[in-house]
Amino acid sequence: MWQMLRRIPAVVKLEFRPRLLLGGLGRAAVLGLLPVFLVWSMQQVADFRDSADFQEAILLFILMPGLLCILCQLFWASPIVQAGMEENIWSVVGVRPYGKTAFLLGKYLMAVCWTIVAGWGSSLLCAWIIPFPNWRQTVAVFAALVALSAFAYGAIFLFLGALFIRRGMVAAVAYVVFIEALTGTLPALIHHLTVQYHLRSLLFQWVDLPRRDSIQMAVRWLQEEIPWWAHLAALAIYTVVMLTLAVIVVNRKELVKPEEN
Amino acid sequence: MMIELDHVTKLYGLVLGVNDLNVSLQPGAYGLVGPNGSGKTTLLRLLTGQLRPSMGRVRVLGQNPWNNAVVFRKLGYCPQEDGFPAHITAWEWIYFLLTLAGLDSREARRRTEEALAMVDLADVQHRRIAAYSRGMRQRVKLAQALAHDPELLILDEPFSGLDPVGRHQMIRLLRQREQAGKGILIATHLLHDVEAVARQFLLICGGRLLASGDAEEIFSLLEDLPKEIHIRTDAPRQLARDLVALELADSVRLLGDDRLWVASRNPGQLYAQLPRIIQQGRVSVWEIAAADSSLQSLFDILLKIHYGVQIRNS
Repeated sequence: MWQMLRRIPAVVKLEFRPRLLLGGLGRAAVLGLLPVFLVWSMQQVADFRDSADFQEAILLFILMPGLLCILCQLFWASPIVQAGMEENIWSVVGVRPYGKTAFLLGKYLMAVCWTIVAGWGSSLLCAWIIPFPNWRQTVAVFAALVALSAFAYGAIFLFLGALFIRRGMVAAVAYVVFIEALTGTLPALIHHLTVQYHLRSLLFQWVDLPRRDSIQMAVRWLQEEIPWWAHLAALAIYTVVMLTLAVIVVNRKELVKPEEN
Repeated sequence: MMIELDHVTKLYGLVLGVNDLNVSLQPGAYGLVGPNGSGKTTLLRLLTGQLRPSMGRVRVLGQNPWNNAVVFRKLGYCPQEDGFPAHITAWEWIYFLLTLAGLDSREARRRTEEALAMVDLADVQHRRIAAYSRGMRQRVKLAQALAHDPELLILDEPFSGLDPVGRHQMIRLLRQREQAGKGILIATHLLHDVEAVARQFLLICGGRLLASGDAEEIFSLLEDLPKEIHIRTDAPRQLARDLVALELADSVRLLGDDRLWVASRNPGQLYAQLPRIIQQGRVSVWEIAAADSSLQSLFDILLKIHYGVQIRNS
């Protein structure tokens, strides 16, 4: 285990080479500006200054740990295995000791890193457009939610990308639509299995803004009284389990270009 | 034992990659020779643990190579296809692979520079790989395979894209490794490349091993086989009649109005008798081209035997 873990920084260091760093920053900036643009265009219609409360926090929640993190990880985490095959990288790193696992996890960490960069930058800009009464606390909560979302969705998409190599992104989109979006809003216990449920519960517990209680009452069936640490533990377990499954799948698969077979 | 294959078969669905291979190789330099699509790359991928055999057992340096870190530490692999991100430099790529192999930063730096100097890329090591020529990219692949000084080097078409000077340098480098007691397995479809490095040869086609052994052993297989000779003449029918009448040809075939193909078990006697036939004035011979005695001719004949083509009946 230690032998494998100590190889992961090599992959991260490679990605931090100046040329790749600039490319990553550019892509993070483009994706991060998408929610900012949406918030800015909404502000043109409705002046947030008069009504910045928990409703705006929900809007930000949908855009940041929801839309932005999912989009970023769709682009960066789900195609990791496929891209390695297209570039024939697996045929080289796969014959290094623990190379497959280290490369997979290193790439995953980079996907998480760029997602967090995009999410945090975007949260700051959005909080500047929507002046929350206690914006420092709100931004800090969103920073945490973005990070949790990036780790959890990244791990799930990485697993799906490893399982359905050539259809990884399609499988990830299907997961988001059918599991996160549909199941996550069902008034049934099954929604406990979604990442959205835990992130949303943490939002309600951590963000202290006007109208929170009235909104929480309205959707009470979605917000059970579970302590925040239990939600954190659930997200951590999701992440670890999905990463473990992704590593197992990658190490069991023959990562050779199909057309060459 | 460096490599052991015990009834190894690899299937891709219903397609055979390699078929019931049985090989035991002691440490040394080996050439794996076969035409495109013969199963060379599949075999190398089995040996480097990228593929699992559908049947049989693969052992490299005494162990199963599938996901085996112990084997990977001692293995250097140069794939046929390019396998690197194009936007980084050769130095960055080799250094990354060495650190991924577990070397500390200082040692990785030293070996990266050594490996790039070995393949004559020191001057351009900080240039992006995307800007490299095909030959330079081939050198990067060789450098990454050599950089950690592996016990066994497995190379898939290592000379493709190299210019004659680069080819000569690589051959010298591989010979040095062979003399140092390191194992080398080179897969190629160009025989003259591998003849300069390898002492032993494995001939593969259709996923099956056709023959193996050193050059002498393989050429001894040829003793009872007819040799092919191409003759350009103004009277190919007459010459064919004369050669058959004198029992100098086992098989003849007319190739157009001025060409004759002859298969003979005794080409020496044919060459000796041919001037006498010409002296009789019935035929003029403009050109004689015999199949050479390189491995290529052997390979062609073994392939024909494998496919069931009997030369004397053709």
